[in-house]
Amino acid sequence: MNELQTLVDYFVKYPFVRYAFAVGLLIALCSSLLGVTLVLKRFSFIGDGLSHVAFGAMAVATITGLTNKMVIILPVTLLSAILLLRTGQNTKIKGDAAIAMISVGALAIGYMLMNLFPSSANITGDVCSTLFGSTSILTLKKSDVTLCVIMAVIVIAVFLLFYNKIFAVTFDESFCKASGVNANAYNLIIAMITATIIVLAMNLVGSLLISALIIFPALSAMRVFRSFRGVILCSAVISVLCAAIGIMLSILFSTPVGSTIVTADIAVFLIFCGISAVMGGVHR
Amino acid sequence: MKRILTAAFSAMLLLTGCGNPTEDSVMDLTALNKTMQYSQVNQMIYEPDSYIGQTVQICGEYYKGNHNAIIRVLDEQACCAAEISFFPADESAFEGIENFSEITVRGVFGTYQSYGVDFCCLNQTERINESKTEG
Repeated sequence: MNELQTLVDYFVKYPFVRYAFAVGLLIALCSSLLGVTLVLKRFSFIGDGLSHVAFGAMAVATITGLTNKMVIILPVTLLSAILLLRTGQNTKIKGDAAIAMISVGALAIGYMLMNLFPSSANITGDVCSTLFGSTSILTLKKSDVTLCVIMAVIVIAVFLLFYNKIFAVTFDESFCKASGVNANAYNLIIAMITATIIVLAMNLVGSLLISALIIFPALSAMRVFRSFRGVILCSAVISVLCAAIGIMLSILFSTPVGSTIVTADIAVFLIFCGISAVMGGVHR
Repeated sequence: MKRILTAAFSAMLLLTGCGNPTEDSVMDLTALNKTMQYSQVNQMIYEPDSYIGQTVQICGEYYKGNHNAIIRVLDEQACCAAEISFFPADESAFEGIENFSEITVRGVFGTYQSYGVDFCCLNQTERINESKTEG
């Protein structure tokens, strides 16, 4: 009870706590919406690949000394997402190999650049902060929050606007193409939304843990629910709840924010696996 | 579906509502855990206007180089650090302190200019206590 009172006090007194909750929950909501589609389309690892690209872009933005790093990170990540999804099918290096290549390549180059052109004396701290989120979510500026809200509005609006098409493309791309739907265009939209979410989520969980934020809520929801709509709604609730619990615990007990959120996601996944097993037994 | 998501989104936007950082006479950051203290110092550096004139109590590593004395606040994992310069009310109170010792200070938050750039600082800073940093 004391912890809850402390948290309420922090929430009222310190703006950065409010910023962290607002941005954290928005990112969790956005990532869960798209997670279901990505998992069903077997694109779970595109999140991982793009997050490493975002890390490389962030390293470039850091050494150039830009105040607003998004100017570099967002376009580079978007471009990579488009390249991976649009041209991946027509090149010699295909699918997972292309993702793996870009992923580790960007990670290596990013780390190399940060070491060759250090922007501060604490390179380890910078890298740790970017890869694992560290306390980034607790050190947001008002402008970061505004940008995140705008991006989240766009992502949610696009998802709601194209909900039926995304549903169709997710389940049967061939049928969509045959029935005249431009599946490639919708795949492109999915890739662009994914890239946007990944860039936003870097602040929350860091670039190494972003995939967890995308796949765990979706996988948990799929243990129990069977309909697309049911899975998306359940995934959104799980994701937002785990993000809230993770941020709360990390503020109260000084644990790393990203890891705490992902741990909460894993715990919920195990609980849902248990529920699924029990329900399976009942149904039989 | 659309209504539920819109309602959830609106509720989250309410979280960004602003308020005064604090109305206490002294903002005692030593009462917070390390990560919270680090985050608050960062917030003060990012948005100094909201805190100018506020008396602040901070615990961190002392460091005195060729120029100003600074207090360095680390997060729990000692991964990130925020630094803030301070100007003592009484210089003798800070004599003989070894660099990287952990000290607690109380001062009035403000800004100063150096080479045309604004930096944050604590003015009229008093030393509250000193304890040697472990390790």
